[in-house]
Amino acid sequence: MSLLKIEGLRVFFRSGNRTVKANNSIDLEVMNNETIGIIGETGCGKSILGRAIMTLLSENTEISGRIIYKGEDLLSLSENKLRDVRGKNIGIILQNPAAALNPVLSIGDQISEVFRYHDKMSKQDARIKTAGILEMVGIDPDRMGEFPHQFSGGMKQRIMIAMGMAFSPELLIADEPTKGLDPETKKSIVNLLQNLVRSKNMSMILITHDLDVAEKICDRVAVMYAGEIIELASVNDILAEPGHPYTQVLLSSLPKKGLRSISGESPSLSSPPSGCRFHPRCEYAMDICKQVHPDMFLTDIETEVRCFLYNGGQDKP
Amino acid sequence: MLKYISKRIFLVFFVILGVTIVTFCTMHFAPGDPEEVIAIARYGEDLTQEQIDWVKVTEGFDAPVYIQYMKWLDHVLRLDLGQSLVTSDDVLEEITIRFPATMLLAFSSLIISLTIAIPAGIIVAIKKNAIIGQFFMTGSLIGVSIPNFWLGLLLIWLFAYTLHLLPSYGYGGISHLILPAVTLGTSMAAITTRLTRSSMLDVLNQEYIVTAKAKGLDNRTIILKHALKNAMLPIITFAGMQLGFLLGGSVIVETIFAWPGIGKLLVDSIYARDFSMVQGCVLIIGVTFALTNLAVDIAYAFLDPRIRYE
Repeated sequence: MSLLKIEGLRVFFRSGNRTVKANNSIDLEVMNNETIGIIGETGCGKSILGRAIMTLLSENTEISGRIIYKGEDLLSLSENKLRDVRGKNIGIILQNPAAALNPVLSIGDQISEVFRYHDKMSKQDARIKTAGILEMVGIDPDRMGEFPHQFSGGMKQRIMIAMGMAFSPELLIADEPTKGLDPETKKSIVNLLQNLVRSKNMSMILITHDLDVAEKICDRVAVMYAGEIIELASVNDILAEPGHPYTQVLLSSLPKKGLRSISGESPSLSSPPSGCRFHPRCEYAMDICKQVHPDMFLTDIETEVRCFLYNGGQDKP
Repeated sequence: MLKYISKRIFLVFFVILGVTIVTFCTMHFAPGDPEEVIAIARYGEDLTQEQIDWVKVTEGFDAPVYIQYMKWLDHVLRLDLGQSLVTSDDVLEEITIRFPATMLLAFSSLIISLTIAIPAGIIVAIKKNAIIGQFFMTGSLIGVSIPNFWLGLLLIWLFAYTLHLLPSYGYGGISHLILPAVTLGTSMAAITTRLTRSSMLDVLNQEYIVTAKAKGLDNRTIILKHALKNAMLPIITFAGMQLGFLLGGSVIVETIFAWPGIGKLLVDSIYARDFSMVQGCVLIIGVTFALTNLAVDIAYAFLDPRIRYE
């Protein structure tokens, strides 16, 4: 069953006379108990997508489209109703926990305040609840009174997870939860996230540029390029038979596949190329790619790819 | 925490030593000879060169500078700041009499300043474009631009001369305090409002504010709990410096309102060429400033856990 449905989401930032089109016409459905990965390079708009779902973007942002959660469009909800959804129904783990934790409040305070605020719990009850959550993410509850700077990077990430999970939300958005962590810590964070999401029957949107992490915990993967989803498929299909030329080079740029680099630079989000946004860097580019913007086409193996190569039975490259 | 505080106290000790050296040197190299002033006090205006030389020898002004400094420091350490060259009053005693007036004025005007500036700064920061934000911003610009002496005179003209509500000068009850405290407080509030605004704007752009929003907290909690505590750090530093200056006596305001504080004492002593009194005042002002900053550093540790657990 569908838990969250994004339809035609556009997120534009105006700066001067430039318009940065960070998200352009995003369609995405998140099912119950599903972990969906959003992968792509830095600057492709994947973090913006995560924040847009929580309506956390600043006021000068232009958002259109619909984000339907439980039959209601989050983009048209009142600020009061949104506050109930945020944290309680949808949780987010922001990237860079060092900046996302408040330096002058104890971690216990930062976690327990959600119980005190949303559930009007007493200080004592909230502390007990917080201790339980810290234990769940592997942090000694006795350290509740300590401050963010007293924890290591991996532990800060655990604290962020504890905060995002405090209310066992139905949907957790994890923005680059393994960024900047050493391999061992990364592994333990990935395991922690995977176990929590499974044991609590949650859905998760995992935003990452780490394909190994996506492979390990995602059911489906959406590949983003220049503010668009260009491929949507199950994680096994995408790894075995990547459809979009961009996905193909992205996969072959992995160290274990030979570190092939992608020629050219990521396009600017304020003046993206005409037609298919990947055509200047694409080795299969045809005339139509320069002029017409491709829709999502269904491939033989039932994956969705935004590429004219899949338009009407032509052979796959 | 203890380590941090003891380190600060240790450093303040050296700062104060520096203050004594600078105080002494400034007075020593200032134009005008102290022996002449003493001689005038002793023998009257008609002086012979012999009389001046005699004073110079008996008072030890002919010794090398460092000997004079050591001698002076020795007296200072025994809390003996000497006697006024003009009135022969004990310098420390005179300062002790004046200091409470300065303290009263300093703390009152700081309280006035912060009670205006912090709420105003927050409102300006969160209501950038609303009329109320523009109103406070314009107000603070006017406040920054108006010089103290002019505002003081304006207030005297309005409340003392025209409305006869408050006394225009002197020291006594609350009514005497209001005008000088408001003059100082509002002009400080103008600057502190702008500082609060920029500090608040900076904090509101931080990632942990997004975290707080993502938790579903309301704006009130986000601003008063998550943002303000961080935004207060630079404000505390600044307010502490202001307090340091105020405790040194606000020369202009104390003079306008004939407020018997240490600032007025200093100015009067300078006019009278009362060397030992000026030296005593400058020393006490410097030491007060250093101690106020020490207090601010300690307050900082209570607010910022990153310093507390250094």
